[in-house]
Amino acid sequence: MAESEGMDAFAHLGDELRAALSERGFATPTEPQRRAIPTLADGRNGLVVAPTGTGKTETAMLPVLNSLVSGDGPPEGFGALYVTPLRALNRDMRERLDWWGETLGLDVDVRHGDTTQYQRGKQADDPPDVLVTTPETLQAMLTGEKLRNGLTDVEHVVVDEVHELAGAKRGAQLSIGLERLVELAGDFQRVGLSATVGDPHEVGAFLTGGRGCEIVEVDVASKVDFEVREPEVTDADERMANELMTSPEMASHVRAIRELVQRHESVLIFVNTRQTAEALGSRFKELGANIGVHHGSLSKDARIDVEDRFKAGELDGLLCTSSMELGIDVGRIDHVVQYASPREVKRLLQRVGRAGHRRDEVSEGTVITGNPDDALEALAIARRASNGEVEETQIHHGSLDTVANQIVGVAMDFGETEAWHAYNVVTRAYPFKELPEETFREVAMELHKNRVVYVDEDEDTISKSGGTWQYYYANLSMIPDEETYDVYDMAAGRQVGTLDERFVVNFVEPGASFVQRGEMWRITNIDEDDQQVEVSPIEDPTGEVPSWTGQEIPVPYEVAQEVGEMRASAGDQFAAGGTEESVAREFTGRYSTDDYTARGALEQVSRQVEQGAPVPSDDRLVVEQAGKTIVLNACLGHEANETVGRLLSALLGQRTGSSVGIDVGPYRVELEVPAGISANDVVDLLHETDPGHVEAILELSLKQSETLKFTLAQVAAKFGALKRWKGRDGVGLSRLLGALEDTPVYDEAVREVFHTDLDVERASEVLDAVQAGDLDVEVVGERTAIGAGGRSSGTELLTPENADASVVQTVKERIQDDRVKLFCVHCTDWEQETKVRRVADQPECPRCGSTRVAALSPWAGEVVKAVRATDKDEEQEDQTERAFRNASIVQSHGKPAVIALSARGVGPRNAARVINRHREDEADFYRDILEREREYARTKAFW
Amino acid sequence: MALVEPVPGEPAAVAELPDGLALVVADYHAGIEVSLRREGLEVQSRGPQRRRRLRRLVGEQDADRVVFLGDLGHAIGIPDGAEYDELEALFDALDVPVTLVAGNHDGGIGEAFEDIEVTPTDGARIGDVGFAHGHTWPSPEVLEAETVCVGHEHPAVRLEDDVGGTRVERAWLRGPLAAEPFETHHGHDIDAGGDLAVFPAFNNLSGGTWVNVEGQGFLAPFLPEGCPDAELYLLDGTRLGHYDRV
Repeated sequence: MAESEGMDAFAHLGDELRAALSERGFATPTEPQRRAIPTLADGRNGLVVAPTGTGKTETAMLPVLNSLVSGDGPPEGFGALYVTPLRALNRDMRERLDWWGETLGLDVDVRHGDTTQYQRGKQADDPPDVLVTTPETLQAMLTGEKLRNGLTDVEHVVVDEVHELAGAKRGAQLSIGLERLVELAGDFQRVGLSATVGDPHEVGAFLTGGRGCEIVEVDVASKVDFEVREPEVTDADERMANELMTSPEMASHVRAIRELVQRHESVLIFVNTRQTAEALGSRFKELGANIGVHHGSLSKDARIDVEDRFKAGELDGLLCTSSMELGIDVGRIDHVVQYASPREVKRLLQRVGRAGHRRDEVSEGTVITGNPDDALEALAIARRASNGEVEETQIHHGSLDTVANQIVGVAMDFGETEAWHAYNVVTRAYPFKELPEETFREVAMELHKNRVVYVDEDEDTISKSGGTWQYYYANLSMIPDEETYDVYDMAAGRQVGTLDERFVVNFVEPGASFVQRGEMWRITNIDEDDQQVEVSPIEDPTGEVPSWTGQEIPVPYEVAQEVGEMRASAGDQFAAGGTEESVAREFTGRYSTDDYTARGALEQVSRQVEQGAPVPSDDRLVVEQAGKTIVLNACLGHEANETVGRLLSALLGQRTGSSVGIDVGPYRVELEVPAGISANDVVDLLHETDPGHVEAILELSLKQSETLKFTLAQVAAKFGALKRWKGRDGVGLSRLLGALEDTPVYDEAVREVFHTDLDVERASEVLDAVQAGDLDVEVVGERTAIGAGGRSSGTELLTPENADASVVQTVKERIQDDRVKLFCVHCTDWEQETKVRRVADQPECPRCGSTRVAALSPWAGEVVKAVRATDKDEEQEDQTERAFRNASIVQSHGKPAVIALSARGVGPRNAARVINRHREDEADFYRDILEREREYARTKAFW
Repeated sequence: MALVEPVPGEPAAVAELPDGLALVVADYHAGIEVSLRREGLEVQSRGPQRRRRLRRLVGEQDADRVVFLGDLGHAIGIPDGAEYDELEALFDALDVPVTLVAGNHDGGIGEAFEDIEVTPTDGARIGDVGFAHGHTWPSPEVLEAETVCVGHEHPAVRLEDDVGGTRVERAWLRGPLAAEPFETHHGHDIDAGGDLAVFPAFNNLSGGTWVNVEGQGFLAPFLPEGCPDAELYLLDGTRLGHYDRV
């Protein structure tokens, strides 16, 4: 569209709006306004895709306000709803909308969780013309009698940050919520505001339920400029590192960020996790830098205070997490720093997009990186961002707990309704278009069983029951509410903070370390009953790597693949004799970075080539092993690697009966394997596993995982199967699993894990590619530079269903502790009672030197007597013969024979068979002995 | 064959008593779902499955009577509602006499079901076998039996493999009685020369004591001192060894 086109966009608005616009000083429309206002003023549905701060809110609201003031004026009830996912946004929105309201004589109000009872009452009696609210508050509003009356007049719904909602259960819930609103108000205009996404048409369909949606997309990529930079460590950094008790690298990052902040007016510094925000923030504080901290676990007052101070220019920089991505207005920003790789293209665009929004101004951003993975990833992301290669939004399709939640909602709306009607309402929403009627029925029946609604199968109706009301208000939100553990500093006797239950169960064990409140802590004890994690501070954290760095944003497949391409390209250049200088120069020509950063990023590849090891890349997997650690180097991103890792661990676990540890990153899957498993076993599995079986194998192995138990707890609450408002202290997660197997609740939990953590399709494709020879797999018998260069994100232990390795191990220990009577059948002079573990590899009689030593039970005194007897009765003959057979097996097999003969129910003949069958595998040897002992318990005597 | 012999693979044992063979189960906890529901976990009653399992065992073992080793019920007090219904259906379904060794959850069962024989809380001796629930000290008469059966503990064992993965299994505990703690309690000599068998819980929703994990104290007042050399067995007959060294 030419620059001049749409300059008359405001002409599509009426006189009142135009007068207000000139009073406000808005002479020329911004680009999104130019392009979207004509469509929206026409009353059509639209999705506006543009960066924050480009007048997006006004783009949507000007036509809506125009419609409210034109004709007969605003209706009696709510004329328009403005739905936004964040409460923090509302304050700011309101200030801007208040002005328009006052000027145009419209009543604009806010309603969310913090709204006072008085205000709520007023809104019910006299609905404002425009109501700013959250998806969850809309859920609550749909059930109030007066409010429902007011909602019948809704003509416009604006959904802000719709890209955030489209991929989440929150959004899935809202999409049905809007259909419930249609039941009241009839069709209304839907306007979505979104940051850049890969597939705006999907998001548009999500917004409107497929009713048709005009997409207005403002090109962001051409208006952003990034640099990726790893700061060079200076002498001053070394000194500062000592002062701050941190590493020189960390000190150089702190310094580089401060320099950027000083060079600009107003800088936003984005980090990926709360933990990083804490760690970095405490360093800035120690240095007295004029930089504030903003993240989700700060109190509301603290957040507002820091937002205001930054906006007023009192702070030079603001350190923040994704909490600041969404459009909280913090005034003009002239530079954005992203600390560490942003992991996704859309995230980089959205974050850097917060800078500089005057007309045609370019948004500038710097990505500060600290290790090779991070640097290559950031380079790949920056290049993709500049080319507009943005990830697609994964709409959360068919989530059954959302269906459960909204069936209750429909029951609340109507009191009693025909099942088909509820089904229609639900399936009008885009994420549920494909929901089979049968599944809908199963969900409804589960709710019925859980006493949340009443289903009359004969009448085919769903209606409210005694538990409906309580369930609904306890489950207005689909945001998972996790239990938390208190983190308690035993030395100082005070609480430090809290940790999510998911983290505690998966990663916390005594000795592990983590960062909280800007300090590093070591865990001393975990008290499950009091939900408390006891810690002590780590005095000198230099060089200490935290065991867990917080839930990282997953790296998408495409980004990981590009990192693989970069490695391959560099690897080829090094192999052809390129020097670090020449290869780095080639990279700085193609990527927006400096020579030092490029060299650092490629250093692992250089060492890999030097080592003579194959470079793992987009078309090559490399499996390496050192001891019990096997690393699969695979540039597949988090979800595909998580899937492949779980698959491998499930299959290896099945084979060995042992648990397998996995630590997954976007470029590596690190496996902690039991003895006897080698890198070649992993390669064989990649070659031999049927790609079509991936899903089934994972489903089976998921059953044992902690991840599933957590998800199950969340999902169970939404089905009314776990009534959290009753308190759940007595119900452990394992019992929950036992109680809910074979219910739709369980199925949904599995589906949810597959949707959010795994990518089965991609993992199957990877196996296909390996098996077709399109993806190379190579084995290295040592750790490689790249393979060892990853950072741990915590090891999760996955236990197979047939986990008998622990039992075998225990029985082995027991047999070693059992007592045995050694008796020389040659001289018949020597007998000795001892523990099995003390027996020599080849027992020998100290009297006569014979190796014909029988291994007898400590209570077998009569056998000794029988062998020694000169005049034997029939039984003694028999016992003597057995003792000789026993001794001859010990003579030919040594200690393994003693072990086998010490087991219950294993006689000389069986002992020989067991030993001969399992010469190779010790675990199988004990497994076989165990099987014989069990057989004995079954058929002879249990104890 | 021991006097009390576990049924392999099941949380139940058969005991040879003077008047025939008894099937012995501990901690049946009828109506446990009611209390889970009260705690917020909405589960369907598994009463019918429990009843079928028990009936099958009685049939398979050809038992002449059933001994419930305490905590047959779950609620404290006289059973009502779903728990009463489950118990009534259970008693109706059993065509052999029932003995209930009173546990801490069984206070009201004798009142509600008058034809059920209920022992005192310090147990009962039938032939050479002593039965007590185990929440309190068994009587000297019980302790002097050849085999003493108790429940209450819900013993379970936590097993760890080399990589660090763990699993928890229900288990039997069995070993020679040590007379001393009992003599101290009762204040006189007791000829406690037999074995103690601690039964796994029949109900698999009821949790348990991980007897081999430090800090998971025993529930019975006489354990572990009353049986310091107890060995652990999995339900399938796997002998794991001394409880403290597993």
